[in-house]
Amino acid sequence: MVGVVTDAFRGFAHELLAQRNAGSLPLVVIQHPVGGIAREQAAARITDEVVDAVIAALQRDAGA
Amino acid sequence: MSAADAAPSAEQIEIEVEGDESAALERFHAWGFTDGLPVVLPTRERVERMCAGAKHYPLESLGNLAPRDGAATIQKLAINAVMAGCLPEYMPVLEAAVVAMQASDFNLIGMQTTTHPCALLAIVQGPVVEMLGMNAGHGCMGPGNRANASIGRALRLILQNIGGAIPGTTDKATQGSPAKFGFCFAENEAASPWPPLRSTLGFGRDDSCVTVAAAEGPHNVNDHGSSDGESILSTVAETMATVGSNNLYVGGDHFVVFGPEHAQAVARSGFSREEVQGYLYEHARVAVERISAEKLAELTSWGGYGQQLEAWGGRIPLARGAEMLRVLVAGGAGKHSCWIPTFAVGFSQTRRIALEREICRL
Repeated sequence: MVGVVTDAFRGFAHELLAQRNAGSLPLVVIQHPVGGIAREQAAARITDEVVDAVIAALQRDAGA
Repeated sequence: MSAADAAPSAEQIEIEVEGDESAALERFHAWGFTDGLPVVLPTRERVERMCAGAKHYPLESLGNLAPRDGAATIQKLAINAVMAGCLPEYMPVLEAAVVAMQASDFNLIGMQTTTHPCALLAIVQGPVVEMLGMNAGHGCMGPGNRANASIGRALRLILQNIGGAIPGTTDKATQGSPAKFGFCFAENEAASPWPPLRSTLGFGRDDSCVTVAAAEGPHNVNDHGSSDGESILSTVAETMATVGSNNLYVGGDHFVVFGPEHAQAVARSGFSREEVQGYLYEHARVAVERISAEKLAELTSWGGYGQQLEAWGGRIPLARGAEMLRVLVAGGAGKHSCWIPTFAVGFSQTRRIALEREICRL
């Protein structure tokens, strides 16, 4: 499992995961916002680096 | 422990603070235990007195409150009740509300952490309203009554200090709401032309109940001109029919609280509660043309609108069913009612308020 969060909610995500004893859950941070912008713009934020980070996090999780 | 800069843990019950009560209060502010206003310091004696008003035993837990999953022991509820200024006899209302908010359909973690400005609304009903001297009349949603104000405030402090919804950190409301300081009122059963709200939810007239909801503040409906029921209902429906409401996205249940004069006029025109719900379901709708294309695309992704727009005739209902509109009466004289929109990603919950001591489950 991996969490995806925008940078405006990075602190929130870390705090929430800590509160729920899930602090080790991999978190991938993307640029804020993903709402209120054109679909193409939102899609462009899912960069290759983001996809790679999600895959790597999932693989780490799977191997753990 | 002696007072240190770091806040005590949520599980820590007793804290020793050096200095007088003013110094201790400043510590509470610094630790983030307050709502920003001064609180009554929860000394051991005050907490013990508060626990004595509860219907469960002090170390009994009513469950764990999200997102922190803090244990809602009676002792911890009492600490927050003292801080909020409650009297011990208010404890049964807090106990019932805390149980209600943990129902899976309520979606407590969503309410606690969302960017939406929902607050914990508590509507108290039945004989307990008079027993506690609650205000169901003029200004019942505003200041001036100790029970209304301190029960609402205590629930907020419980959500913050036990549940861990820390404003700006884990409570991510974009703007928040004044209702988050506390939002509690009583149903004005005596002025209602319809049976009490709880009777529609499976409870008896002799039951005392509390309904909790993740709600916005009240949205006023002013109609000094209309004298017949349909005209008043039309004003209510048109007020509800707004594009930006979460209820338009996902439905949920929400509240229409009639002032007594509006309610009497509507009832005189022959409307039962069910007919009021039916009217508002049919008329509180937003025409698709009023919604921007991009927002409509967003709406369709949330609420499955793509399949239903045609069936709805291009007019999206604020409620997904007439029964999702909770209709009740509160307030005093005057030509005002209100609509209370909700978070909508969840449903209100109603629980009976125990007025005798419950059997200890430990």
